[in-house]
Amino acid sequence: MKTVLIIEDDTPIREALSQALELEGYSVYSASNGKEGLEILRLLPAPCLILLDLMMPIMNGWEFADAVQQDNILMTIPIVVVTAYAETAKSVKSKEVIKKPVNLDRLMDCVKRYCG
Amino acid sequence: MNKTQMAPSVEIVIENAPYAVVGIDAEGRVVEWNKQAEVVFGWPRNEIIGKRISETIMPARFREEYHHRMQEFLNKRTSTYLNRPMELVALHHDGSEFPIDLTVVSVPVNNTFLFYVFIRDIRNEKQAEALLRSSEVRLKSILANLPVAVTVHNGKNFLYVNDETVRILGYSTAQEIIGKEVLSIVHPSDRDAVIQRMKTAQKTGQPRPLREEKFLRKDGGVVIAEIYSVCIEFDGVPCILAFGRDITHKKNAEQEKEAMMRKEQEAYTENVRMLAQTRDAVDLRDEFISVAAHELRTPLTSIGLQIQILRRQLDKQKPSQTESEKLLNTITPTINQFDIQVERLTKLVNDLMDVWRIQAGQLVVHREMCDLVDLVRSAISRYCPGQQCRLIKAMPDKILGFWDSTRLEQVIANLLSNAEKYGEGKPIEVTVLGEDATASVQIRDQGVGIAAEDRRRIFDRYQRGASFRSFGGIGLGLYISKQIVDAHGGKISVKSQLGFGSTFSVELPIGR
Repeated sequence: MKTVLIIEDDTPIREALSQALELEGYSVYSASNGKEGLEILRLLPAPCLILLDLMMPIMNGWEFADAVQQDNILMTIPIVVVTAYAETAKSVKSKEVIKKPVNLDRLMDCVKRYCG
Repeated sequence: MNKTQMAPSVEIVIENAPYAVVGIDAEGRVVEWNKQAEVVFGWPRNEIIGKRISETIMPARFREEYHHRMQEFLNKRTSTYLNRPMELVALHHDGSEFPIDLTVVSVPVNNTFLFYVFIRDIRNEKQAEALLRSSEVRLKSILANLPVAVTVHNGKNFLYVNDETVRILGYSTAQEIIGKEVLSIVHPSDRDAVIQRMKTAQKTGQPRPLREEKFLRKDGGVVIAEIYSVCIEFDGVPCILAFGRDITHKKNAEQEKEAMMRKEQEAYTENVRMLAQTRDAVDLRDEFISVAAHELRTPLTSIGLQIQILRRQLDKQKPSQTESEKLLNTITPTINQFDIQVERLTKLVNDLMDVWRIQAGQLVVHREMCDLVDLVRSAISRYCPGQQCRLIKAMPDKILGFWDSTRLEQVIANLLSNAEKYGEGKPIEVTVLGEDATASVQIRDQGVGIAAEDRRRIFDRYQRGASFRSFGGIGLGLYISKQIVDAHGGKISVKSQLGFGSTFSVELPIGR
């Protein structure tokens, strides 16, 4: 089963992304900040893709990405940044950047590419 | 002992006296003429004896008065002109006149009188006097015109003040000051200091060093003067001679200058503060805008996602079931509309964000190696659905350059969208060329065209090249596009003809 990890602090957006992916047949983990995301990664099997928001409380997207880079296994999981602040995203080691508001077709293309 | 034997003979005394002695009778005839008289008047004795003095040694103009006085005496036996020195003018034998000092004594003889006149030639004295006077006049004139106050005081009262002192202190005459107590014109705040210094000066005899002191004018006003004083003897009394220079204006000017500098400093500080405040306000505004835009994006993202999810579900529906088909037909246009409106809102928010970024100088271009042809192709497929836009020429078919692909896509998208909007449905032709160091993209529509006077304005903020009523929109796209192209060091331009369409060109330097 292909699993996607969504890390997004805004609840409506997080739930909509989850729903969209599930409707496409993916399994979804979701976290509302970077810290929760790391916990999920530690406890559960690795997802095929991480959709990462940047502006989050407790641990933001930049901090999460840094933490992931420290781990040899976690750093192999592709990250796609989903953010309104496209310019600042360039400092994060990610495969792609998708600008908010999200174009679902584009997102789905992206997920398909990394998860099949 | 006989008196006459004791004293030398009167004749010898008279003969050798150091002044001229002239004896005359009641008629004014010379009866005595001593040696000195010969010297003084230039008349040898034997020549003048018996002659009238009024005709010999007296200038003609005095004769009348002399006779008058003589008569008066002879009548009254007394005169105020006797026994006291008088200054007159005498006539020398050579005809010249000279000043004399004389005393007349009368001696009764028999029942008449003899007069003895003791005379001194005071020519030299007079000359010395004149020299002294002229020197005094010169000195007085110097003192009067000196732009320095000169005073003499004995430690208690003024003995002398010059004109400048009078003027500086606002009095009319020196008399008003002479005799006044020195301390009375010293400003109360400086009185103690002045007393101290006068004491020291008088004790040591040394001149007082240059010092600024405050004085009181007659009208109560204050003058500030630089004072230098020395100890002197004035009429035999130890006194102080003081020189003063009025520096009130200079002091006032200094104070004014200081006040002005302080004001300038304050104004400068105020300006710095205001600038900081303005900067803070601008920062706050920019921060607010960026936060607001982000906030706007969040609900837009949410709505957008929901709509897109709905759409995708609808697309999956099989239209074979009539009921579902009816439902689909009803819902689909509505959903489409939602979609379009969300896209519009999104674009608007993005454009506003870009405009504010440009304002704040934060439009940054992130360059990377990208293929312009590829970029244009994907922009066409994404933003110009259907067959309306066609890439008719790409030469060469891969043009690599160091550009911000996201931003360039934004520019192409904007131009394509404009071409569509104003293109009247007619075909839109896109050309991409790479020559030497420059790449260019051209988008040609065959729609309404742009009037000449509008062609320049359309790249300005909030400008549009078409009637608002026909086409709506707030005209940020071309402004932002121009900023992006400029940021790449490129150029954006338009060629157009009303009624025939427009060709927008974007030129970009290829290199880094």
